[in-house]
Amino acid sequence: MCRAVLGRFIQSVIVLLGVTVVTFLLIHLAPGRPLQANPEFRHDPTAVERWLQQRSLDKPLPSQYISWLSRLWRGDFGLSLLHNRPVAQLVAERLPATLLLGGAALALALLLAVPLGVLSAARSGSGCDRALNLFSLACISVPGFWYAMLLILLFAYLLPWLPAAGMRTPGDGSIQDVMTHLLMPAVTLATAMFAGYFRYVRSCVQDVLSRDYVRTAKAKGLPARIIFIRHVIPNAALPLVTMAALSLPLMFTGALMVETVFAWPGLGRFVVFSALARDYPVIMFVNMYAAAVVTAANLLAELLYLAINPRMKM
Amino acid sequence: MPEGRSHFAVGLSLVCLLAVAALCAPVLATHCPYAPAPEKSLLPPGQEHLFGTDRLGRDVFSRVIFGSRASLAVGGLSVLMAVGIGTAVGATAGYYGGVTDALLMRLADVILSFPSFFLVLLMVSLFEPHFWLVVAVIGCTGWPATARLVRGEFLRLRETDFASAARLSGASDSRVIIRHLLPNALGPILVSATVSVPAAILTEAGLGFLGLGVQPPVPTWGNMLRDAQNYIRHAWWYATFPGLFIFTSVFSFYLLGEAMREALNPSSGKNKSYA
Amino acid sequence: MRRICLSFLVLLIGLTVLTGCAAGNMAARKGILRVAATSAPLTLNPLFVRDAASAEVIHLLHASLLRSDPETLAVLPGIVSCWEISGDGQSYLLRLREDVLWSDGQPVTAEDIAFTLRVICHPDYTGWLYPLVSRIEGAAAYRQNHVSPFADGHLTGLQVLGDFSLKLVLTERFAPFLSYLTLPPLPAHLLAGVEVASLEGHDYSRTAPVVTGPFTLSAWRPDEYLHFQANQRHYLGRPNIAAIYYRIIPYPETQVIELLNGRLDLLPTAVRVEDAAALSAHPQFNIYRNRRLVYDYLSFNLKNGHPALSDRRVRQALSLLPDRQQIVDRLLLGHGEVAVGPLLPLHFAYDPALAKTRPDPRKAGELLREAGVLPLGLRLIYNSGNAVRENVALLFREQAGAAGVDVRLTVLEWESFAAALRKGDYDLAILGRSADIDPDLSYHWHSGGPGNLSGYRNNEVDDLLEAGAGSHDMTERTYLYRRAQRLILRDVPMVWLYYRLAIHAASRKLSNFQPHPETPYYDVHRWKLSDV
Repeated sequence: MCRAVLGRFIQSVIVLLGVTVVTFLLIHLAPGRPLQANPEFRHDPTAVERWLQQRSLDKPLPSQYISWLSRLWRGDFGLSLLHNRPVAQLVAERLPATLLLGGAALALALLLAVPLGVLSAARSGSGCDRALNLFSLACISVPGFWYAMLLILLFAYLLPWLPAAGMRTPGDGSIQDVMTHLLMPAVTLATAMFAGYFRYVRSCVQDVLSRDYVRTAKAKGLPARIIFIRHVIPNAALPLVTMAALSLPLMFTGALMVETVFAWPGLGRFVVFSALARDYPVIMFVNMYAAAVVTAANLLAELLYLAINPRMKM
Repeated sequence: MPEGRSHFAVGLSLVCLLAVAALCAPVLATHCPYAPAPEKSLLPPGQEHLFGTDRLGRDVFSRVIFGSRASLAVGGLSVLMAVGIGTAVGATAGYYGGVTDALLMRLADVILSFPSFFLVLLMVSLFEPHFWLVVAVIGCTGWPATARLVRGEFLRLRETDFASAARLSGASDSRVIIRHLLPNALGPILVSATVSVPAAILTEAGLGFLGLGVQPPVPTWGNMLRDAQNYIRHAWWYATFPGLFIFTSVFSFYLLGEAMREALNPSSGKNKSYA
Repeated sequence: MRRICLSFLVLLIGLTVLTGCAAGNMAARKGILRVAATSAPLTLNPLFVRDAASAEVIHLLHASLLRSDPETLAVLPGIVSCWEISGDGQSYLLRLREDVLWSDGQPVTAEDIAFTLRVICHPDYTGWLYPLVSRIEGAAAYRQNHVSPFADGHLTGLQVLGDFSLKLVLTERFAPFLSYLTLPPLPAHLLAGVEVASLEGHDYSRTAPVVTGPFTLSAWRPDEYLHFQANQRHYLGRPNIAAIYYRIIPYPETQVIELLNGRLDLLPTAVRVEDAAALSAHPQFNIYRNRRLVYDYLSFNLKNGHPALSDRRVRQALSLLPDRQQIVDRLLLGHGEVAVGPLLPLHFAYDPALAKTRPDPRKAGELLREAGVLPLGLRLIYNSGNAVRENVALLFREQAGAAGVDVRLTVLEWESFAAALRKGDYDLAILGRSADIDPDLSYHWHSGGPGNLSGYRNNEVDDLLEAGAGSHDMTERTYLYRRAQRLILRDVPMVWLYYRLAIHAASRKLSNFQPHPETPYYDVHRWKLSDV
């Protein structure tokens, strides 16, 4: 068991190293240097050299990579080219908004998906089941940004009930105020998440329903509600929790499009604008950070499985 | 299963309809999708313009029809590429196993550990936007899922009797892979390709929306929406129709993929998720 | 099962009610102005501004040495209350107002100004303002030879005569110089101990704790808003508006919706021409339009673009293709003027007699055939995000097609666009250029001008521009610049397209709003918010 854990851990480290190489190469093979538009460079060609030197961008690639890696190791993620501030600080400032949106959307999605999934599985094959199935397919087929645009048109313009942008009214920021701002982005994001959970819940419950102990319970004449509460739901819950845990990393990187359209002050919007502005240190940091969170979550999930089911082969 | 069959029929016919629309765009379009006529800016849908006009007075219907070409082509070609790479990698990893397998699968892990749209956005934003760039980037980032699937199939298939028989009869590795194992894994590959197309279409639309997709004046659903975003209050039709086309095409591909999966694997067909 | 559905329904209703209450709770606070911005400023230090948002915010936080009149562009007193130009026209005696205070209560002195100018001339300075002060005697030497990492020492042409007066000596007569002194000072008592190389990344760029402008920064929520409060010590008087929320909303469409819903009071930029008519007819809003010092043009890549472009006839033919009046009428919906040349209608030297170029595809075709370059294929690049330019490009493509020129379009995000420009990876580009408040054209059109990127050279133009900069006489300068402009136009170095008007939308509650060609935040201390 210990060896399996260790092996899995080493694998994760290898993957992360691979991620650093890919990230680094991606950025450095791209044509063009950052911040070409900088007016200073138009006046003074030596400024370019000076500027590159200050950020040690004038060394050969391998040595840049090594020094970047060692700085990463020491927790120094560099300065944003655009904002002239530590990248980690910029990201940390935007993380709470992203977590709030992601958490709200996840809660909303689960709140819908669990009851509807159970309902659908319980009445497998019925008209209700089919309709829900089609609905879930529709949910993943809607382009999020288009949906967001239509929501804004409907609920901020035609029916001016909700704010169209931002996370709070400046100077207000009460819970109620944040909730109002949160509603449209969270619904948009939850729509996309709903389908996955719904289908997963349905299949888990169906799976449990076909097990012998449920059949036995039925044969004993237990009422359906008791069977669900005693047997079905507890047994279907575990895979669901794992699935939710695996989708956590997505929360940490934010919803790029949704945050952009709703001007949500989170990480997703920051990433989009940084990518468009070629703010390389930011791009690299977010890349690494996203990959690290995903890898950690995967590792955790697998270790969890291992703990629950020690006989499983890794 | 009547449900599966009806899904299949509906999905297939919608996909075919879109494909026909894309192929016959010049015949179906009522106007030139490129020629601007600024005096007809933002006209609502009517007899002359079925879906209204855009800011430059171009016919939205004709542009949506022509847009299906680029959008579907990006979807199809990038998936072809992703499935091609994925199959090759998965087959190699699954057939040879050992170090090859470990290395290739770690590579897949590396790609998978980036949030996918983020990676695509990043790669496209670093280079000059272009049709083939978009195809290549979506293709290059989409292969690990197929690779894992094919690897799994191959791990199972290579232990079967007919594979050992083929090997014993002196067939080369590539011959065993291509002639004997691949045909048996074709079903899952096909399903995986079908459900990847809508994801690629959505990705292209997202890139187009950010101005990083296929370049104007070539219309795609994504870059039309980007344009339309500036006029959602002035012209609801401008944003609505390209969006509806994206939705319809994605929906029909998912429907088709779902039906195919069910047909292939009736017991567990419904138990997969798309998350 | 039914119970689950029911509780769900209750939850949904609860949320709706909750949001309904919140929406009704939106009473505007007294004296607080909510302003929209497309992007957040990158710096609050006026010497390091590189983007439009920072340039805007600078006017809220900082007062400048001199100001300019919003209508005539004549130089007006600011922190510098009066000035004298010596007989030879080369030295300037500046007197400061003695009642200007930094927001921490310290007086603004001549040493602050000297310090600011030394920072700009320092070898480690990472901003781009140096060309503005390069004509001060000793500036070049300081920039080359200064060794200390701090902005200490002296420039020979910069003499502090007392707490409130200083003298600047130039290396040559240069008429536009005063108009270059519209920059704000930095607080020497706070920043003199900071190495110049690290000044751009210094906390001051983010917090600007000590300023002279009408407002001070009190909070900055990243990607949400900046909160400004009236500076009680502002030398022009305490602002009527108590506080400003500067909200960052990237999409113009969203900005308008927020304005219509009463969550914003002013859209200082980014009001689209399509919205102007509806907003000005709206009972709650005013639309303001004013000229700016900018023009959009079609640039030729004469260095490494298509070789045919070096033929003047080809350039002339291309300049005959776009229908500028159609662009102004149909794309700008009248919120602009057809551009005729580098002198803008706001400049005193503007030449109203200059004829507008009318589209003439036939003549263009003849010129192209004469030059023997057909069939001609050209690559046109433009930046995304500017709807007007994007549409101009699409129109131009069709108009050029009619004359047998095949134009391929590439829209690029700003950074890629700038990279392509730098590499010369284009034939044609649609660009915007801003002009100075002084009509002096030498920055872009003198063969040695710092902004002359295309390598334009015409000796006669050089002479005229030098004579123009060396004269303090407005009539003479007008004559010289108009002649230079005609010569430049004859060479067709670019295609002037249009001068776009700035459009601002404001709630009727806001009064005394008077935008300046360079900033909407001119005289912001006089703005008033009524309760109506």
